Amino acid sequence: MKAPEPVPPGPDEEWLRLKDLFEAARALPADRRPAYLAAACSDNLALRQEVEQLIASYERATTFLEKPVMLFHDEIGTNDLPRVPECIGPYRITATLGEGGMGEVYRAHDARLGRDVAIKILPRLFVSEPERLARFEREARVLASLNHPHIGAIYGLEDAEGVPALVLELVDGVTLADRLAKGPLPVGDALIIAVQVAGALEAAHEKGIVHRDLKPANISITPDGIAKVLDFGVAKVLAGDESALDVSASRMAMPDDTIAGMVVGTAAYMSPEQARGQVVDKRTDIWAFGCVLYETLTGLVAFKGDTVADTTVAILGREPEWEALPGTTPASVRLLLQRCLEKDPRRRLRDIGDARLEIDQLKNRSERVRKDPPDERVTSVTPGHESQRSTYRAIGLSVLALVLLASGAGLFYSAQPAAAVTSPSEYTQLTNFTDAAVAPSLSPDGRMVTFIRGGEFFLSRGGQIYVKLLPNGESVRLTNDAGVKYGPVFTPDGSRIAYTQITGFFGSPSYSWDTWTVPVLGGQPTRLLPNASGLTWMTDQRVLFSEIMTGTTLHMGLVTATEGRAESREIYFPPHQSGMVHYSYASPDRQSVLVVEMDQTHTFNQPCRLLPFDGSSAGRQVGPPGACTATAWSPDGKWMYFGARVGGSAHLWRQKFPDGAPEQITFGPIEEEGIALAPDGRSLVTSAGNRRSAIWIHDLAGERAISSEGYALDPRLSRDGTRVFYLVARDLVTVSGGWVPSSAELRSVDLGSGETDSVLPGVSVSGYDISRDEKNIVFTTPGSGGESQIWLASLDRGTPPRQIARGGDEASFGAGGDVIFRALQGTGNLLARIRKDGTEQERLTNAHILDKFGTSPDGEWVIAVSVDAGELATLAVPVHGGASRRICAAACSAGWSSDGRFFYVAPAWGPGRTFAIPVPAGKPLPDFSASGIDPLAAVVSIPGARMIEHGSVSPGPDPSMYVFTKTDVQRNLFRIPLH
Amino acid sequence: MPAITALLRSWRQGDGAALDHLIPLVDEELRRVARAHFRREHPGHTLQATALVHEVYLRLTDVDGLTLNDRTHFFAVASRLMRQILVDHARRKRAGKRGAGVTMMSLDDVSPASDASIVDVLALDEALEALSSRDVRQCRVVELRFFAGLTIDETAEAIGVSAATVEREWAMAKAWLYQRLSVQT
Repeated sequence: MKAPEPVPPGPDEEWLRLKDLFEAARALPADRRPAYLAAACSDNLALRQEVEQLIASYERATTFLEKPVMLFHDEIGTNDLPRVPECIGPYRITATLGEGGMGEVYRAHDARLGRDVAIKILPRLFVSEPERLARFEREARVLASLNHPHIGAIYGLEDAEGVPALVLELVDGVTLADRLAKGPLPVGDALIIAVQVAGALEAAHEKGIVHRDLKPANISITPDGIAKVLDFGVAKVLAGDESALDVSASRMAMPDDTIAGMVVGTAAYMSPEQARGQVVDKRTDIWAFGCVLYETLTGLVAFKGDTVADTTVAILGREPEWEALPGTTPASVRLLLQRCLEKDPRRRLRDIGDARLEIDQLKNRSERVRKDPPDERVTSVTPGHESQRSTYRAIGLSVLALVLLASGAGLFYSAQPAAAVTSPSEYTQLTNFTDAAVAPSLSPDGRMVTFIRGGEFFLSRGGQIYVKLLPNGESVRLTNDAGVKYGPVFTPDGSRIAYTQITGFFGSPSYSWDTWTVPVLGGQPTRLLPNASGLTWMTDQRVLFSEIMTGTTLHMGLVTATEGRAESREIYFPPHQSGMVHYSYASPDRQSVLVVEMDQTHTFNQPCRLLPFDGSSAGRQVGPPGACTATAWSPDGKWMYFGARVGGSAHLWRQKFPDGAPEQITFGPIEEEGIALAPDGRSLVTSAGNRRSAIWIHDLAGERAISSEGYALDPRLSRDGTRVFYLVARDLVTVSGGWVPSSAELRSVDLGSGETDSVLPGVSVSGYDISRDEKNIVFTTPGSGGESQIWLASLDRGTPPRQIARGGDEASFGAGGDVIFRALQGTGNLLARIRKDGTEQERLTNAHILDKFGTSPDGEWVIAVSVDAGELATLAVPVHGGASRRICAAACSAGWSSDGRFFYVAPAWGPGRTFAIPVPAGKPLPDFSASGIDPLAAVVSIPGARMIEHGSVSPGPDPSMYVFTKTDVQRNLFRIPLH
Repeated sequence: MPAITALLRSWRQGDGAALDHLIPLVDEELRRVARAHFRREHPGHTLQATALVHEVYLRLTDVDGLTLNDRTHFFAVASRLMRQILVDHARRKRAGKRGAGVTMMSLDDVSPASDASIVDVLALDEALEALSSRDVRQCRVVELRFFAGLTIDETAEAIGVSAATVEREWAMAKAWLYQRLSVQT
């Protein structure tokens, strides 16, 4: 056999004739074939015989080759005995931890990460079928995505000589089963464990993962009192049964059972539906949770029998001994147990999150009653202290106290007297990440910092909330979800982090900006307040936050209320209905508020604002004349601090309250973002670093960078694919979900020679479009006083630029050289068109738009994000009248390839992806349903559609070629002394 | 592993060099998985090549990131490699050498109703080679159907023709191969 030839030889004519004859004869009834062939091959007897033989073979070869080839194992003596491997993948085996029905378990060392892990090799009998093996691997990948402080992590999957092996977090500590062998736990301790286990189950259930085998032996308690649920979903994986029938059911159907020991151990925690062999779901875990909590409180197995059969009878027919619960068991816990151990799954507690909340509330109530002074709580209780005093909260705090002691807290700061301005040599680095640590905020006592890692400071997609004990504690991740977040701050008692999280797609019914909190010690995030963002505390009870005005898409203003949203009062709403207030900080005397707001283009592009807390006026802009992104008060209220982009670079400023002049306090090439003042006012914590962005091209030769300037963006390919236009930012502003230039230089690069050229020398550009004939360019400039202006110029610089419109941006060419743009009106933005000579400006629709993208190659359609039939949607709007077509039932970016043969759609949120969809000839758009593309992923089923692994690409002639930007942000937290 | 996904994509988009990188990766994995399977099984155990190819597919690729197109392209490569693997093995068997943990191909199950109850893999390979010199597409159809277990529709997808065309090519290829193998035995 040869390697594939690049150009296969085509069949010769004789063969083609043979094929035709064979096909024709085959189609005929057998009795008519001889006559047909005689006539058709009258000139060629040999050919006729050949066809006849082929037909005869065809008749006989009915099953020939019809079943795909089988491999047959004929080796003898290769059935190797089980042995301990030395290494599995990169892991060196150091000890055997166990071997049983669930497979061998080893302790192993991972030299790369310097940590010990547990490796569970799956039993061979489970993986003999390829389908099952494949399914297992898929399951394992899902399980590996479970990352939760109270779930023993699955790090990955290795191959131990063809047998899959799970690499698991090695949890040192005793199992709850070991602990319970010594007797029941005090009620308080039992509830601490229960709330952690419930949190773990809740996180898994949210991902659709059911444990199916929860029992005390699967819960490990670390020496510092942290519970971890182990073997998540492994039962399901091993069952490998997509019908979701439980292993135990199939086991009971097979009397000959090599793993009977395991069955007896597990049977006690089986739910009634499991015992019956019915389909199980998360309610099975809720049952098992009830069993575990009962056993933790009483030391007794809830449903016990000497044999599997006896146990099953107890599960199906008996109640646990309720009298065995200790007298101090709160009534609500008794009720909770009864609801968990309800035999009919339809009547059982529906959601494990309810169990967690129930126990949490209990904790809160007990705290209110106890009113212990905080200091005493921290110091007088130690973990494992077995008394009724050890409430959930006390244990939690004592764990924290130990952490604080162990980390050597207390000597975190030493002030250095120096001049008024700080230099980077005085900075103390607090984190050392290769990606970004942004949005720092300090705990009330200044000993901990919370921040976002892995994203932008605002609307951080993929960024997670971290907490770190200063100065040298480990950075601990508290969240692990895909939510878009910003603004983490500590609660007044320092026990939780509050942050804003955006749920749902822009425009979807579930879209909301809510405040969530997550415990500093780790745990499941919970929603504190819906429609509340940038939340900070005024007092222990009263909060300050931004709220989206009812009936608007994103008109967001400042409100104050109690934590429960009582006594709500508006303080300030920006006048423009697209204006938004995002951060707010009350002065120490609670009389004034500093806010960071976005303008009507959803851009941080203006100074911060100082408001009276009583809402009596809209206040005034303060701080440096630039784009303010952060603000803070000195603890004595005498200084206002600002983080702002001024003159192209982002630095920190301060200003004496109320009427001082702004003064810059940091300088240099390293930029600062975010401000957290230390409680003593002698230092602040900021995020310092740099942000770069480069233009990349993807073509048949692969992917490579084609720009080398500091921050390049907004690339467009020329129609012939030889040239790329792009902007190099001189100054940037933050918008929802990224950065845009407020002023930039338009450049082009020749892909052949690599030479770059300034397209509009000396002109500061904020956006542009190239005409279809590539003779003209329309561009916008920031303009004086912040009013964006639209200009036309010829690309060959033959004529100087001339201004055609003011108060508009996002300009692109329509038919006949018309320009379509977003007109920035006083209270809302509109889609508008203007002639190239600057006359006949008219609106295209009366609907307000949020965003505008490009125009179709024929200039007859424009893409805009607007409100359609009461909800936000991305639309293709006809330029010359007619009905709009809906592209996405949410915000997405969309546009055409240069020849119009492909339509590109990229969801605004989620992983960066673009779908290229063929456009039927003669039509402007692919045939979407009236509701648009929903979900977007369904696009891949459209014939000819392709997926591109980057968000917002700029298309070339076909999907094999496109340009895109890659941004790289490296930022770390630094402490800056204040002089 | 996602490298495979990227290579498949580049290949589909016209990068011929990607195929050169792809083939050894898939080949090695096919052989390794087959060996691993048999190592833990009793002699006499049979394994469908289809299952093997599917397993390797799942092992090597980031399934979620692949389109249907990528999948069929993968099977196009795998079917050819599977044929090569079986031929290599049969050659070693014939030469009297037994490689470690190797497998033998039997076509016992292949044509129970036909006269030739066992088809020699080497003979089939030679016949396919001859067929390929007359009609490359028919040869590809046989590889995809027999060595990778693709359905008519999947085969059509993989080589970019209609299902009706595949059905016709398959009928004639089978007849032609059957005849040639019958004549030789």
